[in-house]
Amino acid sequence: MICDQCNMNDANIQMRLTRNGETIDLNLCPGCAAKLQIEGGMMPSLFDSFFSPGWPSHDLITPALFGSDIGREPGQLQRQIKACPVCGQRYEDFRKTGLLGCSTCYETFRPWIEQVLKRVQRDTRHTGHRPSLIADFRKSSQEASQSESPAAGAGDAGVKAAEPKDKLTALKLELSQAVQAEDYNRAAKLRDQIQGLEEA
Amino acid sequence: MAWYIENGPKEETVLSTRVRIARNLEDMPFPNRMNPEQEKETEKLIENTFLSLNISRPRSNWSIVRLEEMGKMQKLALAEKHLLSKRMLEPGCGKTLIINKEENLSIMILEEDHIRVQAMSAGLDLAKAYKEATDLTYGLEDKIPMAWNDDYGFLTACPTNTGTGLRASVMLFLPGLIRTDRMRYMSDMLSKAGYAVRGSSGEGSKVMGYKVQVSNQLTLGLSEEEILRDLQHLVENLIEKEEESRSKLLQADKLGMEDKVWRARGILENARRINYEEAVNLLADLRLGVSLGLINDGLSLVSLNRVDTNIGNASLQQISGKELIDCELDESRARLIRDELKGANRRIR
Repeated sequence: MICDQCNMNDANIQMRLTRNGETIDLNLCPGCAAKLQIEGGMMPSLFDSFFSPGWPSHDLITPALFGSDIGREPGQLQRQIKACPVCGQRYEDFRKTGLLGCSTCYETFRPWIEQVLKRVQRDTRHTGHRPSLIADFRKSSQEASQSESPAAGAGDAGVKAAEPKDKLTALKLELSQAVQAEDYNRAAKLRDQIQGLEEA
Repeated sequence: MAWYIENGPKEETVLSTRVRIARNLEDMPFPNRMNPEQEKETEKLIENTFLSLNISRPRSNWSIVRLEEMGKMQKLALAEKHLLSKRMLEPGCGKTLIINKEENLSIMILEEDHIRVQAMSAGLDLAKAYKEATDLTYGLEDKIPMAWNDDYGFLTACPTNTGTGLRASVMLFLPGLIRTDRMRYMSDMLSKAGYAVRGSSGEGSKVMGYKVQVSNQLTLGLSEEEILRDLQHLVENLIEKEEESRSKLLQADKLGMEDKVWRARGILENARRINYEEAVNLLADLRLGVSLGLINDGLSLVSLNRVDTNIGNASLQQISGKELIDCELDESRARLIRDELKGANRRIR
């Protein structure tokens, strides 16, 4: 029998899920059974996916989102923080839905967010593209921005020139594809464009 | 021409590429905590900002679709083309889809996040899809301050999207790996390496018609360039393995393969009723036959793309302009397939 979750591996674990009086039996492989951790009913999004198969009920939620945190008694800190002061989202809501309520939730629930991110992401610090408009940035380094790039600052003090790195991303990918396709003329042109940008 | 029926790079193995970028407005709760006034205000702001961008011109290139005003069937038909997610089908105030004429570039407003920019491309073309998605996203970012944190980057409702907010996925056609039973191993490896592997309709969906969707799970701690480059390498590797497997299948029993793909064509050209699953499986056999050159009388992958796009229940009902019951669906599906293959035969002659 094939696993109902991944449709790939042999299923040798059976599980019964019940919700609103509806019961379904699942055949799962050990990997999916472990990943799902549905015993505590803490992953309703994944749970839902079995009741309405064929649709992503939650865009790419990671099964291991809460990992060993599932079913554990709330810690002292968690009891102290009842809800996000800005949007009112509670930690329990986050655990149930996997969703935060607003930007401030990232600070309100920071200790758990860090844990979740450590579990599901490569690192807990962003290294990619930065937006041209950042409110905090506007407040703290408006002058620096203007002195760095006077043209970009003219007329709109909040706008910082987009990092050249962002533009490079697409070009470098195109280069790798051109090389793969052995289209060396295009590759040479792209290489020159990349060098130009890197020097700038 | 709609993007999904075009020819694309590596089309024998890669059906399509999708890049999705998630963003939220600063100082506004995420969609799961918004009230109707905030929903309307956010929808208006995003729409008006979009309309102020050069990319929105000429205006006739774009449709702004308010989901509240749409029929259920129309919405489901858009979902079958992967232009709407399931979350967008749920009732809610202000949910809007802004989409271009070619249907390859869109903004979903008030999905799980305020903004989901999506770019699609035929075959394997991460660079093209990424460029189109970022042209639009950066345009919006330049005018609207987005939810941002110096540590976590772009903030999203679900922490699995935070950082870059970038999800790149590639829809692969892997009959070789699946039929030689190598896919289980590959999908274990992919999961361990931080990639999601699923069927063609997203999370929880079955693998049907040998279609497997691979996407990055990691969005934080890697730059956009690294995410795309890693996925590109991985997909190139999968393509190589798939080609090896197809060669092995051919070497083992070429006549058996020919028999299978021509039988598929026979049924598809003659069936009077066909259910969705049977159609998907037979069309996959036919696609394999065309990709391997076993069917070489001119039937094109573009013809098959067109059929694949239109045989879902909602699309069939939209085409016929009325609600259909099960046997009528099977009948209209069989007719659509016959007409397309007949049309293809005529074009070949």
